[in-house]
Amino acid sequence: MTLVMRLLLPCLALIAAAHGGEAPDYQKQIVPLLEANCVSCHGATKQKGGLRLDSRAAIEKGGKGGAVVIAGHPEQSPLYGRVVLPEDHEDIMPAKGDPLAQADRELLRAWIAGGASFGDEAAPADKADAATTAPVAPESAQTVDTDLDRLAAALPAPDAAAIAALARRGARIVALSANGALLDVDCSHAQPFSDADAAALRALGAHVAWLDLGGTAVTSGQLELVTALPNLSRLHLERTAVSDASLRHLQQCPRLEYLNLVDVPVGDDGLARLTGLRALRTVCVGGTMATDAGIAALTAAVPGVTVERAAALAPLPSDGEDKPRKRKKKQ
Amino acid sequence: MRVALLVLLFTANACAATVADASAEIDRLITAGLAGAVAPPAADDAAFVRRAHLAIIGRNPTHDEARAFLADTAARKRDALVAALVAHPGRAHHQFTWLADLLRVETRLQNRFPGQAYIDWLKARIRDNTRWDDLVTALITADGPALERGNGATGFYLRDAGMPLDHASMTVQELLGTRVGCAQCHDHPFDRWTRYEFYQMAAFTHGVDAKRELNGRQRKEVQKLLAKEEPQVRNALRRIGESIGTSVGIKAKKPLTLPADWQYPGHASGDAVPPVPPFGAAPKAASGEDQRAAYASWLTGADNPRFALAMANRMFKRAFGRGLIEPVDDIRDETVPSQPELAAHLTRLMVEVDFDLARFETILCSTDAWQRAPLPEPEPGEAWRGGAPYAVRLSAEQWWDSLVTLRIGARADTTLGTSAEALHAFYDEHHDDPVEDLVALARESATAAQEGRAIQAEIRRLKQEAETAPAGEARRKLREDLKAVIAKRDALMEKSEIARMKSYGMKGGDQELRAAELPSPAPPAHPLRVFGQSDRQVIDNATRDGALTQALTAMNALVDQQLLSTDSELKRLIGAAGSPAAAIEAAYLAILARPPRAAELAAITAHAQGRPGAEAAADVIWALVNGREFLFMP
Amino acid sequence: MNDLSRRRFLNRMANACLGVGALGLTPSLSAIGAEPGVRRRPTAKNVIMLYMAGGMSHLDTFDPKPGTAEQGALQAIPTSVDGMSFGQHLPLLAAQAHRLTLLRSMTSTQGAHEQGEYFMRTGFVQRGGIRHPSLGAWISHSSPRINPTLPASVVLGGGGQHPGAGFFTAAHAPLPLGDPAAGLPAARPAPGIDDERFRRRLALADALDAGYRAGNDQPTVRAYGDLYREACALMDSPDLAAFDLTKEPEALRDRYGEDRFGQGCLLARRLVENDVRCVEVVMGGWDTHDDHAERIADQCAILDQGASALIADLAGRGLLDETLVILATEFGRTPTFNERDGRDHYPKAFSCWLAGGGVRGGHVHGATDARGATATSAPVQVQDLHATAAHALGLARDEVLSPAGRPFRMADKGTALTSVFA
Repeated sequence: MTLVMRLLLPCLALIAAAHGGEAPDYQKQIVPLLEANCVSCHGATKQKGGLRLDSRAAIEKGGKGGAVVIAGHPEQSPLYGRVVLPEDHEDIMPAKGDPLAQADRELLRAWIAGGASFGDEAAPADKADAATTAPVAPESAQTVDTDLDRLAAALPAPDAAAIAALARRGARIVALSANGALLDVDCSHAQPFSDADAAALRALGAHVAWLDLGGTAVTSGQLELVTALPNLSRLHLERTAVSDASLRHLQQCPRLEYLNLVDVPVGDDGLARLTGLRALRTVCVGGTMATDAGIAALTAAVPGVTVERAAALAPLPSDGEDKPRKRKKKQ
Repeated sequence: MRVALLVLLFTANACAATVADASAEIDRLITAGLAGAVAPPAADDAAFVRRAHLAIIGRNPTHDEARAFLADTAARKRDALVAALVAHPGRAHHQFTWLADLLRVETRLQNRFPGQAYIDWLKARIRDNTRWDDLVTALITADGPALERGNGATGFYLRDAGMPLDHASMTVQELLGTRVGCAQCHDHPFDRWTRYEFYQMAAFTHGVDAKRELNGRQRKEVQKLLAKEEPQVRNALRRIGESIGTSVGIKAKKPLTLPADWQYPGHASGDAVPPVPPFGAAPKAASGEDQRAAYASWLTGADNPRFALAMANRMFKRAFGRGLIEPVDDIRDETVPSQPELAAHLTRLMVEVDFDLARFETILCSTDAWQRAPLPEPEPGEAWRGGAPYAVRLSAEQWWDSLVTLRIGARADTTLGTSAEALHAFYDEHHDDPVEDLVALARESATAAQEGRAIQAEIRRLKQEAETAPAGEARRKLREDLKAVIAKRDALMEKSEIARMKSYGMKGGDQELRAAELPSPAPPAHPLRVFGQSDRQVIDNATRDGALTQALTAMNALVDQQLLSTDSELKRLIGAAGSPAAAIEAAYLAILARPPRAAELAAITAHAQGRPGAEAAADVIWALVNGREFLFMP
Repeated sequence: MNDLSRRRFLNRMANACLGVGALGLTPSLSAIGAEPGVRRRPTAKNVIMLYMAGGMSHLDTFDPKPGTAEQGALQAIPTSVDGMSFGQHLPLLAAQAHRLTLLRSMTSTQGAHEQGEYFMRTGFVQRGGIRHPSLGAWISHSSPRINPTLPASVVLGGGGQHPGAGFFTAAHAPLPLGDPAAGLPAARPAPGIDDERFRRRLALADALDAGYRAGNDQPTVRAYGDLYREACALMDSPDLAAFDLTKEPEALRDRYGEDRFGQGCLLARRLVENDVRCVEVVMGGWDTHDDHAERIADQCAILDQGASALIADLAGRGLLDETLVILATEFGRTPTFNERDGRDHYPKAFSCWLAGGGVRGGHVHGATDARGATATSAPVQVQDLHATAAHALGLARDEVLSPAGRPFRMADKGTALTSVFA
């Protein structure tokens, strides 16, 4: 959805312009409206329905129910549709307080009808995207095929010698497809990780779809091995000592969907090297030096990515009830 | 069998003179079965004394028992030992755990009804050597209040309360070694059993189930009376009602009918099914009457050769490591035993000794074949063939009971543990009480339990303080306080019928109780379960498979804490030895029932070099208990 | 000796001393190349089953019916998902609702505890004469062990009736642990026995037992050599720390709850982190025939704290993606109240939930009628839940024969709920 929107946006904007109506300005008119009425529940503190409305990326991403803005079609866009419901409807937004003023509703409608342009605000992020993805992406980021089952069908059988070499080192190798062409390689119990292991992984190349190096002694230098793994979709690096700079090698893994960096000494610099990975869905950064800004930059650059942080374990609410939440052993 | 009293007397006399002849006949058949192959040589005395104790009374011989046998110079000392062990009080433990695995005897029966009365009853029958057919008849015809003294056989039905069809099929599997479970839902795919035959057989015990009556009044009436009581009181009354009001008897008078999913022509769902045995004939009982006596008479009767075959085969497996038919509970019409003539002979012998299992065991263990050096165990599932017993791993119970024996000596055989006495006493005292008195009892009991729980907090606090207090007077004082509070709690809990139901009647630590005295089955993480004790859910569910946790338990949990603690018999024995050499010999006799060999002594001497004697002795004990020789049948 | 040299040393000792060949050290051929078991790409590697023993009331937890007489005294609260509400005593899980797929149309045929638990743990109706394997045993049997030293599955607080390995060999039995805080029993030498003494004991045992092993060379005797070797490897493995909850910060242990269930959830996380494939955490006390409202409050407080911490912690560590968390119970409880203000057993309709392991978040599968009495849409059988776990793990569900020669397959005739996967 977001990809399609990204491609269509300029055209729609042109259409809106051709119709002569001046669409409302996102920064000047829409942002204040959203901040006044929506962001308290759909912002940094709360994300009701998994939705945030405090940045372009978040609006494009939508909520649990999918997209909230269908450019050019206010009636099909929940962002507009939910605010114009009858006042007693259980789905009307804002859920608390008065309905939006008629003028504000009209503003939203006009902005979406006019192509939901984000104006200048979007430009810096887009440039950053272009800078990181252009030189490295082996395939167009927009057309990466992440269907592993389809990929598996096109691959020959993997090199038995390389598999045997890794298995002898204690790696566990499981086929991820019926034809045995795509593999889940778990090196987390094969220690210490050696150059020979890295070489064996390189030899398996396109067959490695899942790779677990969690807790191993893999070095930043050895991590270059991932450049030989074009079909890598899940990578565990938790509790390793790889560096920010070494994460650049991942740019050669366009199908990477999952990356675990828990307790790895990396920070925003490392995350900045991931912005071109359009297939990314989950990045785990608990115990890293990543900051809110670095995480925000990544989520803004990669639509649909969820960054999991260890801080998700909020302290217990002190709910003032007489029932203590913390209980002694009673079973 | 009551029918054959005269025959019984005659046979008993005849048999007394002919154990040797009966054994010789078995040996003749075994030798014939060897077809020229050479049987192993006779086991040495050390292997024999250990095997005889493990196989017959379920535990290692003590140091003294082993030494006495090795020193004995009598000509027929082996046969004498077998005869003595079959009459030994320790045998009841072993026979009980063996039957408990077969009959799935639990300390908590279905719906958590206490099983102690059933357990005590079964142990008493083993001790007085009740003939197997009589014991089975008593189980099948069990009737009346569950906790009335002497009526523990009712546990046979309470074990499977609410599952009468499952109970019927498992009864056949247990007693006839024949699996009919398939035929509960469809004609047996491999055997001749049809689903209709299954229902005909189930009709014999149809309607027999657990009944709950509270002092003659129905539960609903009591519930009304209780509506205004606290939940704790209601719970207490429910338990009281269960313990005095549970009985076994015919619950439904309607005949058994075919189920809704009936799929075969000739009969239809809803048709009444008359009781008919699958082969042979059963005595006719009047329609609508209790059919169980007729069923028991057919099950154990002469028309049913499988009853004797199934038990003879099981007893043979117990002695020799495998049955002549494997699995022992899957006997079919076309089954051919690995040694058909021997199997037929043993079946006849079982009838001849009138199902006296002790006598049957004496005969088997008096054979030359049983007294030979062991053969390696064949693949799983293979039936016995050869000329000697197999070197199978000890059962969990044999292994545990041997450790208990190392710790407390022959005292292990006295009865210390589980007992239904408290339950029987409660029944005696209260089963005639009017409902109002029972309600008062429930109130008292609930209050006591509540107070007991309140004290629990105090106990926790004192425990924690005692743990953290510095050693010395203060700690001793805290410990004494703790003891006093615990005694107070126990006294209160005694009043609570809940405690009564829960208590296994155990005295002493569980390290001093043989398996038969512990809850059946032992708790999941208990060493017995780690070593494969049956969970008592499925017939013969014990396993002798290895598991990693067994090695951990044997290496790190038992030897140092249980065998090397100050109050251990083994420790005393070694301490009493006059010299290091005597200490080592004592350890060898106690653990492996033999003196050490020269190479072993050399290895131990090298190991002990420069070490304190006690440490070296401890290491020897550890090493022997963790060796394969200790874990496998000699 | 440092850790590594000590480990090598002990391994070598075990190999040399306990009659173990080097054979056991090389991975079996089945671990190399295409595992025959895999039929489809898995979405999960591990399973954590939170087992609510006693029969959890669906109306008061995950399927409330606010405004009806059936709801009784306990009210409903909103969750992080629009339109989804939970029982009032589950605020922390409500905040995690966007990570859950609720199964509100569970239905079972078993209304007694023992039979119901057996059904839920094995996917088979209990029958005399056969013991079916539990979920962990099926997983252990159908897929390779990832961690060579730790057991494939663990049950925390399971009780004596757990079906365990069923008809599979003891090697597939889940390891039962009582108190999660107590660690793995007997995993270190007895107090007072240092590594040097332990090594000397191993050497002595080997010397004294050599004669017996030579004279009794049979597979069962040899197998024990392997077991002792494995046990020594485990004793010396850094993986053993997986069982040690003291390695966690106090604040995190508190967040999970001090009760056994909460600490069990934390241990479950540590175990799956170390590639134990299946962990069952049992929480008792749901049999609320009386004192219903008060006991539900107590029960929910423990469940809410432990399970919410588990979900959030797994997510934060990137483990939720590949760990299927299943909340299961043997049955629900009656929509109507009995004369003791309690709810009785109710297998006809109840609730379970799934999280992680590739399932959707904030999703509801199936529904009950307005009273919570009947599954009105997309009813889910107990076997379907097992089939869904098999689907997530990519297991083949090939037919296996019990020792008696009867054919069985994992999850029996269940159908995976493919629509709950993202």
